[in-house]
Amino acid sequence: MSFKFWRGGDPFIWLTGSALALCLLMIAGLVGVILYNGVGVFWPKDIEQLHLRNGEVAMGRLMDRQAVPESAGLYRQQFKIGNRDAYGLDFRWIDEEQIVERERPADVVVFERLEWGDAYAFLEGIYAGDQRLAAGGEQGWQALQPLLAESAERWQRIDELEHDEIGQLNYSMEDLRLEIRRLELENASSEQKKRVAEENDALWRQYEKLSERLVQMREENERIEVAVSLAGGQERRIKVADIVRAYRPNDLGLMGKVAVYLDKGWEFVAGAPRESNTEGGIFPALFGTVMMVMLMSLAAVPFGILAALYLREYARQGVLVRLVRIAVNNLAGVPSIVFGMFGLGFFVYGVGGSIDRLFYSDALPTPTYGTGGILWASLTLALLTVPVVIVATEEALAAVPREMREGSLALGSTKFQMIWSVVLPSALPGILTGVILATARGAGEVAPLMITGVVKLAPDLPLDSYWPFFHLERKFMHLGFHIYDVGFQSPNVEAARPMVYTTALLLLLIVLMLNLTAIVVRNRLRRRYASSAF
Amino acid sequence: MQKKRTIRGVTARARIIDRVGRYLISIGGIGIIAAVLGILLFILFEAYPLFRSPDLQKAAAHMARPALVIGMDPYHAIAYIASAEGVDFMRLEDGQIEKRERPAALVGGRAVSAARSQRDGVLAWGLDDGRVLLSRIQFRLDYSSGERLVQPQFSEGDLLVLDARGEAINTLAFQDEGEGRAAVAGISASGRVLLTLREEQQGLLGPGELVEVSYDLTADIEAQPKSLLLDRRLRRLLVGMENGHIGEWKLADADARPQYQGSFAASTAAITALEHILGDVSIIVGDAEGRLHTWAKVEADGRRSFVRKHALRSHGAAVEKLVSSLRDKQFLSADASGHIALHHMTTEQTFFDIIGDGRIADLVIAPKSDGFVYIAQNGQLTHYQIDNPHPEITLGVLFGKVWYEGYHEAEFVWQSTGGTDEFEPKLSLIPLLFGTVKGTFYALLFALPLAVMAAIYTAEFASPRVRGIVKPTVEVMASLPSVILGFLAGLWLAPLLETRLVGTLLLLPLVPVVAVLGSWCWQQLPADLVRRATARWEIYLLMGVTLLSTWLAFVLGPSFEKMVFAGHFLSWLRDDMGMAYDQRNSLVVGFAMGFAVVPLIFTICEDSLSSIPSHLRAGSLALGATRWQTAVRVVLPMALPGIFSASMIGFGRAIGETMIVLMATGNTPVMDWNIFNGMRTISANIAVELPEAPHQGTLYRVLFLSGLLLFMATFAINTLAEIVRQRLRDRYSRL
Repeated sequence: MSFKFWRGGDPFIWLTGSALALCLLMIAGLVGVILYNGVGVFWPKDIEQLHLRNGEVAMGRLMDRQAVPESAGLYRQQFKIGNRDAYGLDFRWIDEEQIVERERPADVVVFERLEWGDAYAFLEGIYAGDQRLAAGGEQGWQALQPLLAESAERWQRIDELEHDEIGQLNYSMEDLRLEIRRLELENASSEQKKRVAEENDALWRQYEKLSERLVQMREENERIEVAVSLAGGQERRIKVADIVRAYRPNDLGLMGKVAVYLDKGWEFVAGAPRESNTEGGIFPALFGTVMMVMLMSLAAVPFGILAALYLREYARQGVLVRLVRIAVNNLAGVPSIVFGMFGLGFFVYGVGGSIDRLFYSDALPTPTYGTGGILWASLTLALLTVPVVIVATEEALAAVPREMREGSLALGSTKFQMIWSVVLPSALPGILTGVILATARGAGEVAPLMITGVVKLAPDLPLDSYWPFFHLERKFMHLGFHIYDVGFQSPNVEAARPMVYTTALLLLLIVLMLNLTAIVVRNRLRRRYASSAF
Repeated sequence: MQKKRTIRGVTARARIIDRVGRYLISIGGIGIIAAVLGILLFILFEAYPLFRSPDLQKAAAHMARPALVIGMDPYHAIAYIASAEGVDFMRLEDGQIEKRERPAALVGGRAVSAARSQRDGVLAWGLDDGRVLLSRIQFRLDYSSGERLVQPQFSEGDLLVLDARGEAINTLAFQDEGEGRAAVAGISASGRVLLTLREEQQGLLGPGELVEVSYDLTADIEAQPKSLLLDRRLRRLLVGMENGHIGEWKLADADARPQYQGSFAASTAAITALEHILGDVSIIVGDAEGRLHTWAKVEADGRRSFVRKHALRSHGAAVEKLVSSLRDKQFLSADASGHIALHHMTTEQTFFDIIGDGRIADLVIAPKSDGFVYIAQNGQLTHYQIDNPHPEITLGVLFGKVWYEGYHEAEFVWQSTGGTDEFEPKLSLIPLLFGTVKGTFYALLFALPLAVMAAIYTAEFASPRVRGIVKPTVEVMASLPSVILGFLAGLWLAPLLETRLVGTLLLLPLVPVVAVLGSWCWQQLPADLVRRATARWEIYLLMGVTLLSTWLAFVLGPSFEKMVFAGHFLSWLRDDMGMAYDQRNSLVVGFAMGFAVVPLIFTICEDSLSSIPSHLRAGSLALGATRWQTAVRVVLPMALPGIFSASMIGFGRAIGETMIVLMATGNTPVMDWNIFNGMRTISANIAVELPEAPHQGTLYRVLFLSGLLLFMATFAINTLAEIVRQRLRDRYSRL
């Protein structure tokens, strides 16, 4: 390597180039890791039955393979063995040299359950108490299908009963409770109190009737059980009502597997979480995220544009405006947690506390608005994104050519007319891009939410069929927080990890989609206005 | 205005809309800007009360009978005054005596001393014949009338014999452990130290089988006893002596004689007052010359002995009374000349020093530490209210080393909550600041070279097509939610790094070496081919080479580890270097946070590089400089301020990043530069602790203060970067 080689600088060019290559590879790697781990989660992999050297029989899905530490050339494999109720764990490492024989029996059934995770087992029969309804094997499998459908239907009815009727009842009862409190505070007449008390009794009677029916339905639901045998031959019973889904992965063709995959994928997007968020769906989190982002945009966008319009079009350009501009610019770089802190102190404790004292004093000391909720979280994030919107809008306004303004004014329009019909339309692409990028930032932000109202499991959505439909004081779930919570706070991190990857994938998709929309909008509108400019 | 109206073609409607529009936009615009700027003020106001000086207000003064001991209830409603004949309950508001109790044993004013325990509601009298009368005082709350009524309740307890010789008990100390053990200590008229221990199955004042043994400890000590101190768990008895020494006895079961542990010199003057700080770990020692110190046992050379830890402001006269708070580490002291002062042990602050009405007979601090009552020798009872919500905070505590209870020396510690109420909060911001700086440092160490070099390549050497792909890709990278980065770092990267650590570290030298080697090989190819292929294929080639070096690093890693670190790097690190390895460490944070910062630095760097006028480049190339020489000698110096501003903005982002740090470190507030350790940053600390912090409590305000620091730091950094950028823009436009 001669002096000339170094002097010319080509190795340095390659050095800088490899830095760029590293960056690009890192991005590709990150997206790849999430895709690789996230996409395959719902795929119904085959279940293998292993005969081990010590005579033991194990059954599970192959998850991972790695070298055995400190013994060269040996590998071990990780299996998801399921049946947490029987084994106590979900996963097991088995040394490869221990495995004598592996097979894929066609009649292994995967039972996805409401509790204890999946069960991998052979069907031995169906029982109602001690009475045998069907034998094991194929016959039992056929007999199980209508039972599962029935059970699903029954669950739906129970769900309706619980949510709609009892929910409505609870709602009225809470109203009544508050009224009683108010009457007590106001020293109302005994007549009024009596009336309310009677109403209360009526509601209670209704409630008792409903809950009795509920208990009945649950009992009915739990009557039928499936007898299964695990890999080691242990016999167990699974209630049909506990089974969310049952399939035989080794017996499924490609289409069948695709169907299971899609079914599980749909449950993930549209279903409610189960088992402390490690199974089932994430619909509430998805809904919370979308609603929060919408509320945030509703608050941030109009005000951001107003502020930018004022700064650029109305304010006298001087030192003060320049200072304000720098300040606003910098606010976009202030850590989000600081905004969250402000949100907690100002919105939750300050504004929310005052609202509670003024309008919800009968519910105190239980806070209504004086605790974190979707409204406060959205406003906090709006504050966080407003500077981004202001900066983007200002840039877009500044880019509108002077001639267009002057032309409009020369034609006799007022300033507002000029802004409304000339400046705003041509600045629209820039403004829209800014708004979408700000939204994307808001959608991915988690830290400020953690202190202003996000929870791991919200009992109700912030939007339902009870007056006033939008319950902005409610706590909510969020995809980003879901990732943090399930991935780091869950008691069974290993089992929860696949869910975290899919949730991350979903969040990534949302954010990437917003970004791509911004890019597309920018390019399209720019082209449209570029061609119409004179 | 008149002129405007005459403009033709502008309808009245348009004018009205114009005006409404202007007002709306102005109001909205100014409002939102004010709101956004108000954030700083709000945070400032939330943190400010930490540094407010305490407010002291005289609430009432009444005449009462001369007292031995006084006490009060938590709501400042009632004070009790124990005198030689009994106890009076006085309403603090108007001085009315609500209730008088005259126990039969005291008839004729036989009591000569008394002792109380505010926490346990116990009052004891020492009689002139060597006996001690116990009693219990409680305050019941009654809300039945809609308002809070405080009702004092008095119940007389046992009468026990402390001095069998029948001397008067001049100084008395009493403690009830709560589980059937109790101790009474006293100094008799002739200066004998006496101790009675009791054990019983049930509470002291209830029935139960009783063991009661009295001891005369006078023989153990070398000087005249002046003051006594028993701890709540009845482990030891301390006696302050004439010669400035404090003697210590270890207490055991009632039937075992307390063992004398020797004495230590606490002062040169007589020890006139002794008291425990809440938690009974530290003791306050006041001497005849007015000096005030706190002492605590510290282990040294395998022995636990008393060490002087904090010095408080001295009094002008002998310290006579010490009363510690039941809520925090504050205490009141009163001296022989009638001065009363309030101190805080940890911060070594003295909040005020007032002069009472002559010599103080006794004083008591309110259970919530929001006031105190004292009574002078002449029976004048005075009630003060204190508004001092954050006594434990000073700049010294926040930013200096403090010697906390249970520590060997003064240290920077952040530990905001503990298991018990007696916990001493440790709120030093230094470990958090350190963690923030450490995380940022490692993130920038990784991100800065990578981003700047990548930007140089993109702006100077890459083909326009590559640039067209790279820029939006990096923009998208910038919008990746940090929670995803954090989760990947914590759950995927951290375990992976632990097993491939050496390979990863090998990347550092291997990537540049392989790149240079690759470049050399490339040069050896026919020049014509090189020239034609460079524009189109260079980036793919580079990616290939980088992939190759990554692969090489991970393949070579294990053999390298075997060769140099005897097969196991982690055990080498632990055993030979004495460094601990956490799975979630600064290396992981550096990677992940670097990943978040790279696009930011890259974009700004690239912008400032590519906005340098191209005629400069053309000139340089025309004079025969190579591409690299042009880039380094011509373009880079011009763009340096831009690169600086980019790094500042990256820095600003990194110090405020929350989720990545939260997920990719163990969040332990350690102070150690070790890259294989974790840290706790200010932002993560806020996210973790703020939801649990009571509204407007000390922790809440300290967290706001730390947030304010973060806010100001990022604001200053961003402003600096912005100013640099604006200057740069001006300079370019002049070229």
